[in-house]
Amino acid sequence: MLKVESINSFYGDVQILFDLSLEVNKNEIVTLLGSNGMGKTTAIKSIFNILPIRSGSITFDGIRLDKKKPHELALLGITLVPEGRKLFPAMSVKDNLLLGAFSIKEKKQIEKNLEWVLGLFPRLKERARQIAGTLSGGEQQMCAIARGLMIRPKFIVFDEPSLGLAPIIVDQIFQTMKTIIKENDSTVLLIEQNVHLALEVSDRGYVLENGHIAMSGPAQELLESEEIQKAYLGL
Amino acid sequence: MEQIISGVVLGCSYALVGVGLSMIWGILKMININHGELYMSGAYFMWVSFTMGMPLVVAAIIGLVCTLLLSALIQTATIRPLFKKPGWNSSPFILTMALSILMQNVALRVFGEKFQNIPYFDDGIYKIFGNINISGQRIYIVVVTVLVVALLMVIIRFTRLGRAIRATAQERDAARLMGVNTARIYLVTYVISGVLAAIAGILLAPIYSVNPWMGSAVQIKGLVVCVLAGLGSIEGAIGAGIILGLAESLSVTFIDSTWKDIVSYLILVVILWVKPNGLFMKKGEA
Repeated sequence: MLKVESINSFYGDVQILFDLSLEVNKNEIVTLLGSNGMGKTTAIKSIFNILPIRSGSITFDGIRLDKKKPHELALLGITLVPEGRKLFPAMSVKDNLLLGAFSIKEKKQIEKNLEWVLGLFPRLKERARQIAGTLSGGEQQMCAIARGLMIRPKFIVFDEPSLGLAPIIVDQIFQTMKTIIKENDSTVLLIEQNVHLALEVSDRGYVLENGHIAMSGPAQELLESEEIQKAYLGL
Repeated sequence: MEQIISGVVLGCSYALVGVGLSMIWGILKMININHGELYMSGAYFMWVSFTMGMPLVVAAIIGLVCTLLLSALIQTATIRPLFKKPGWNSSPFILTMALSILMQNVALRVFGEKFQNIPYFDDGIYKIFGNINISGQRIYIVVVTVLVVALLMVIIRFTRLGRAIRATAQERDAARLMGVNTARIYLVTYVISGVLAAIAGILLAPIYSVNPWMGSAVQIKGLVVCVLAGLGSIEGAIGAGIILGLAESLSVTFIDSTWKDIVSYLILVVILWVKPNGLFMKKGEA
């Protein structure tokens, strides 16, 4: 579904991504791992064309993403649940969700999606009128995920969903993620620092080191590999 | 009592200009120094149409539409390209200052320095609240302001466009990810603000006369209103506008009218001292 081929990205004159290539096939959950500063966020920004790539290509079902404007990606069924949630802090939960469906024109469709999403997250239904900025960390993450689901996306990118959350909340969220993917027939690219959690839930993984892919393979293999265990799991 | 009414009328024009300025500040994150000149444009376009023989109402509408187009032109041709260049965030201030000087001088060149008159929309004098006299023009000002502001509030709170505007102001990148064309939102916001300024200019032209410098004082008061309200607070700008108008008007009863403007600036200083986030901002909001 998503094909990233040899992309190079820069911030000004500083190169961050070096010939980065990765692939996500339909209905897979693929994880992109790497410590801070290795280029994960830059990769996301490049995929969504918020940071234009200097060379290489990014294709989604044959369509060149790097030639599209960021606001056109939602129309293709691609959603990002951003790092740090990036909710609209002064707007209510409901308004945030409605914004998530901005690219949909038919009111009925939006209503249906809203019902589905609130069904997945009953906590949000309770707090529909609450101002998003006042939600707890876990609720905000739920809201961000719910907002991303409002277009019933074909392809979802989760950027560090576990960041700053209590372990029990993280577990809940990852469980819900699995349900969503099954119910919605989606494909997922997961960016995570929590290696164990990410590899447990994924089919395949890539390891990003200093802007290029150092390792890749089936998730189980990576989990069992010595390098991963030493570098990321402290074993 | 007459002073209070004067104050409310004055406050309406401050509110219209302040709301527009506040919108540009809150959404485009820039200070629009040529806002006073958009106010002036509304008045001049109306005056030109009127002198060409159009009925007053038609002339007013022409004034509005022309300023709308002018705002769109300014935003697309000068402001948008500037935003695309990295590191130019402080430049819209200088750009709009340059535009302000340009527009004032163009007006001076084309129309001359003479103060031009426009007749009142309504020549009648009405009695309200018993036996207080108020001119029809002033009633127009208040009624139109209330209607326009109410319409704006409805749009911002309850429509898809309004949500998109709020989202762009609060988290621009996330808004883009949801499919909001933020470049278009910037244009729409700037144009709405320009139209608000033009409405104020058209409403007040019969009272204060049309001249190339009519925008300057309004610009400064508009900025005061914005800061008083709390930067980016649109509802606050309405309240702050009325308060400022009332304060100025009432102060005339106690102080010489030449000190009127100083009252506004004094209020600004005191409020900033006591409530630096503005009168209407909740704690912790930026």
